[in-house]
Amino acid sequence: MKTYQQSMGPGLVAWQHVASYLAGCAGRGSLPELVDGMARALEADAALLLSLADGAGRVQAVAEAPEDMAPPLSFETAGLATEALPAGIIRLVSGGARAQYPRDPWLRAVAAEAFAAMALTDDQGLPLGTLIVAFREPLTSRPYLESIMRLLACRMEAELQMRRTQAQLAHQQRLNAALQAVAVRVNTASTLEEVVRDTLILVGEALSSKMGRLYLEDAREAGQLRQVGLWTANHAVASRVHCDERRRCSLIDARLARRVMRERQPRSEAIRRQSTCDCDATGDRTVLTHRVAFPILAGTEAVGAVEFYLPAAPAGEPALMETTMALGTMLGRVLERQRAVTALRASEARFRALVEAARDAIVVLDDADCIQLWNHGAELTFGHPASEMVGQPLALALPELGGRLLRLWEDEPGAARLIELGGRHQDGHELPLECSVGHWQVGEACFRSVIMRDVSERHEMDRLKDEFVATVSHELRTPLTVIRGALGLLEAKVVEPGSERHDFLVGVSMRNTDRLAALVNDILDMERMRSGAEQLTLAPLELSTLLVDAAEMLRPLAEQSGVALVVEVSPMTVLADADRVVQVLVNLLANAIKFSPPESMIEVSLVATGAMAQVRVRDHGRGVPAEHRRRIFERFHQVDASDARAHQGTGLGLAICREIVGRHGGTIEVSSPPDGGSCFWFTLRRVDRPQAIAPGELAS
Amino acid sequence: MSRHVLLVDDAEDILEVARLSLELTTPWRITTLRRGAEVLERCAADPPDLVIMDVMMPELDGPSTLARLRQDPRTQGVPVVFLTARVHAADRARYQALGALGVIPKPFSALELAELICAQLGW
Repeated sequence: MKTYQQSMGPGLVAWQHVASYLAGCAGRGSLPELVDGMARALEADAALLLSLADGAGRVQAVAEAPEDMAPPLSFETAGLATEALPAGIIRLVSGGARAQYPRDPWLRAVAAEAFAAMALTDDQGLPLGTLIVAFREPLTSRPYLESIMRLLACRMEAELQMRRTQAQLAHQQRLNAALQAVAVRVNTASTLEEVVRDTLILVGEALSSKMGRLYLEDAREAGQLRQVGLWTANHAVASRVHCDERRRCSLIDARLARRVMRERQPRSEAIRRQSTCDCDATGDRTVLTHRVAFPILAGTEAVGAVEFYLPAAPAGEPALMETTMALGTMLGRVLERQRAVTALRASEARFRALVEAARDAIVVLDDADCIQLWNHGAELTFGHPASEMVGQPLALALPELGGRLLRLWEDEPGAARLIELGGRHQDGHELPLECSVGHWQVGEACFRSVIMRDVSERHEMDRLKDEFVATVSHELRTPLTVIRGALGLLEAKVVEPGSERHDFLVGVSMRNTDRLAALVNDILDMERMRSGAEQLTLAPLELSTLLVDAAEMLRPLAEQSGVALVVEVSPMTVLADADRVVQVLVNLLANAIKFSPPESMIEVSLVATGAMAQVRVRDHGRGVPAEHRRRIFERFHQVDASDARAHQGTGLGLAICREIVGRHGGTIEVSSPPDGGSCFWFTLRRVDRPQAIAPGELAS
Repeated sequence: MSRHVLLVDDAEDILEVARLSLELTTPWRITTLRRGAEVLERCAADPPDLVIMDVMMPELDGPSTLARLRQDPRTQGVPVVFLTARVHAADRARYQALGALGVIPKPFSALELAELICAQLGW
């Protein structure tokens, strides 16, 4: 067993060694040389300097002697020095080291029998690393050992602290660079996904992250998080990311994300169930041990979270937390912007859909009075395609109308008005247009809009309505005028009772009262029919029987007029309302009798035309001129206006017939046979044929 | 000398009641017609003192007949009064613009018909 004193010789020699190594290393920061110098000064068989990575418990061999030894790392050895020993205290095991630490591979590797170890700390007393020297023989004496170790340890602590500071600085610089790069992407990227992907790549590189996830609040389910993105450091193989135990894997655990959202603060943690991920391009499976998560803040609201997965504990945590907080705020802005853009696009799509679906012409002008928007309704209304009109000055595009619209805007800027103006279609026909003009401003830009509705149809409807009201009024007032006039004369006793004039006045009053009643009944009947208030009672009917019955009802009138009624029918079944069909038959037969000359014949027949039964009423009267054939079925239309008075008609009979037949799904028309007279005919659907009636085929 | 009045309406019954009313209450000579075209012919041949005319008539209605009367130098001075159910302010203005001297609304009181006409014409 050798003693330290014996092997070292005079202590001065050892101190000279130390001094020369220190001088040699001065300013060069060479830890290996210091470790080697210490081993030589102490005549140790081996020496090892371990550093702790930034408070994370990771141990790294910084220098060793001899240099070619490549010692295995031992947590036990590191812990021995850093945890068991207060700062500045040297632990000395003079003999039996391997027996005392049988599992320590370094002690085994160097065949150490004795060792001295001390913890290296920084200015605040926090551990920096461990310095160990080993001897293959037990130590019997230890003068200068502690002094030399302490002296060199001071130098090494300074060196390690400088290295750590430099590393932290570099780490922070990388983070800052990443933050700057993300800020640039925030301003240029159009979607949150792009920003997050680039953020992960940029920040992930700075953090040595292997994987990241983006969670957002589920819009469909409040309070729930939805994973909307997954990336890996090598995003090209993102699709291959997998976890060994997917169901239980901590990588799909959103608890940390929820927590950082709740606390609105970033947080890091060790993953309890560590998982492997083949997220390296090389295919190496990396053990992910830690994760960092930070909230995405839109204003003060946390709307999502991003997680980074790391193969080791993150370094420089306070700075990292600060950086990730800034990242979360930036991503929140992107999210807000993206949501605003989405909302704007949705609003724009709704606006476009409304504008293009509108039948009205919608035209928007820019502040130079040029057409900026010309919708499909405008194309239909004016007959000019948008491609031709957009960009044109309004005054040129719509020569007369445009000028009047511009004057409206100039006379009352900012006012919304509804006015009717005349326009012109591309084919030249005039358009009555109801124009709603508006004016609005977006920032500096001023826009004018006009919505134009072609009211030709409405005008026509108004005209028809006015005409109808005037006609009804006239038709009602005519018998009333007669009745009132006649009764007035009778009441005044200006005519002798029993005289011819007296009888005329009584008779005319009675006749016009009947006419008035018939008119009121027909008008009400017609309106009930048109409004659908009158329901048909459909049933299979033998049409030939109805025809015979109707003819028999009218036979006395025919005989009175000297007209012969001839009925030629064969059995045919239809689905119809019996009362309404009889009403049509009676009407047509009565008309035929009224307009037939004496000694003439009216022929009633029934023929099958495919699925329909056709009833014909043929007379030999004066016929219906071609120009009246379509309009004769309109309300109050008369071929000769005096007919209604002469034949006591109301002018509504054929209009009612058309309504009844139409609601049965049939048609009614009139034709003029070559040999004179007229032939009114109508059709009803047969049910004695195999064709089934489709539901809804009959107007209800 | 008795005034000659043309009474024009396509409704036969009205025509008869009005004629009876005027014959019973005035000394006027009444001629009844049913068509506007007949009015033009009769007025040109023998201008009456007054034409009492319906508005809504087939073929040539009252206002068109009046317009034709005003165009013909032989008939342009014939006084015309309308007997009509269409008596809205706009209708009255239209008749007046055409040169009608008055409007008698339907239904009318048979005993007051002559009085109304006289009041409107200043007879």
